[in-house]
Amino acid sequence: MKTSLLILMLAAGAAQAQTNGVEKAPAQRLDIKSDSWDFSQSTRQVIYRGHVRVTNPQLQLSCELLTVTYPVGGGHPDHLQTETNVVIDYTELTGAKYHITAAKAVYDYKVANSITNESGSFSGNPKVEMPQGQVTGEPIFWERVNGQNLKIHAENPTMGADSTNGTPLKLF
Amino acid sequence: MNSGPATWRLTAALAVFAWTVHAEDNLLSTIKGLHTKNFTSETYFEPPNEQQVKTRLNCAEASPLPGGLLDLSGVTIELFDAKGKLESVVETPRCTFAPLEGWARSPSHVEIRSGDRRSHHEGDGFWLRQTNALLSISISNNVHTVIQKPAGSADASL
Repeated sequence: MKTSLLILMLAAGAAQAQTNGVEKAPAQRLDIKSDSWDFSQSTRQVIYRGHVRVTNPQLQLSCELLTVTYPVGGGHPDHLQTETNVVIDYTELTGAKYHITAAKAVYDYKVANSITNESGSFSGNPKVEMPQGQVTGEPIFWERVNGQNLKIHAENPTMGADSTNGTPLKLF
Repeated sequence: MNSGPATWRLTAALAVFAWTVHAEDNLLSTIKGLHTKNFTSETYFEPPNEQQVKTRLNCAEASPLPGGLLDLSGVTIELFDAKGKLESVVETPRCTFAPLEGWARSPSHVEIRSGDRRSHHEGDGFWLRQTNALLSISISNNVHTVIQKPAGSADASL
């Protein structure tokens, strides 16, 4: 299950996340549209405000506020936050589709001792719909290391069955 | 800045834009009190790269405004690295610049692109200000960012 890809798409473009470092990433174009845009060197943040739309061939994300925070010296964003009416639609190369809604989605990235740690959460009545079924919880957390071994857990989770065959959802 | 995110590179170009005009006494003295056309102003790196152009400001026209402001039109700023590689380009058809206060603003369109053309910001209306050498930029309307990554790229810049 690659729900985390949706967040990674925001943070890093799809290339690295899509392949988990195994396949060569395809060329990517990422478009971000918004009403306004702010950048501050003092806070190292880029903020997109109002009718934010992030798209690439596999991703459509909308929200009202997207905040990207860079580490000192630049590089990979270490924190992303999307807020207000967050809607994410993602299609894997296999064709599998994911639909996520939440009030807030957060992504964190850090590298320590050559180990890449990524984590994130969906909160505010989050709901993840995927081929295996759907998950709700408050919040829904995820994390993974070096692009592998995705772990997901949710507080007070509910899991729906696949509507096509009634198979109970098994996350991990 | 080669490995930094596109946004940093692009905003650095804008920072240099502010700094360039601020630092260029020749430019200011040229413009002061008269209408100027088709001028180019360059800044250079510190030694040992003092022969390398750091920024090149091209301006089709510049006119003084009350209060020490400048009305610039046809503005293009190019930012280079110490090896002469083009890092960023900023273009706007017109802006008001306050060289002593360190801000520039305009209701006009602005485009900021990386030298390799892999990233691009544009929008209508901007406000650039520099405080204590730190830069802030706002684009107020119709913002569009495009980030292009070649196949196999692991660069994660937004």
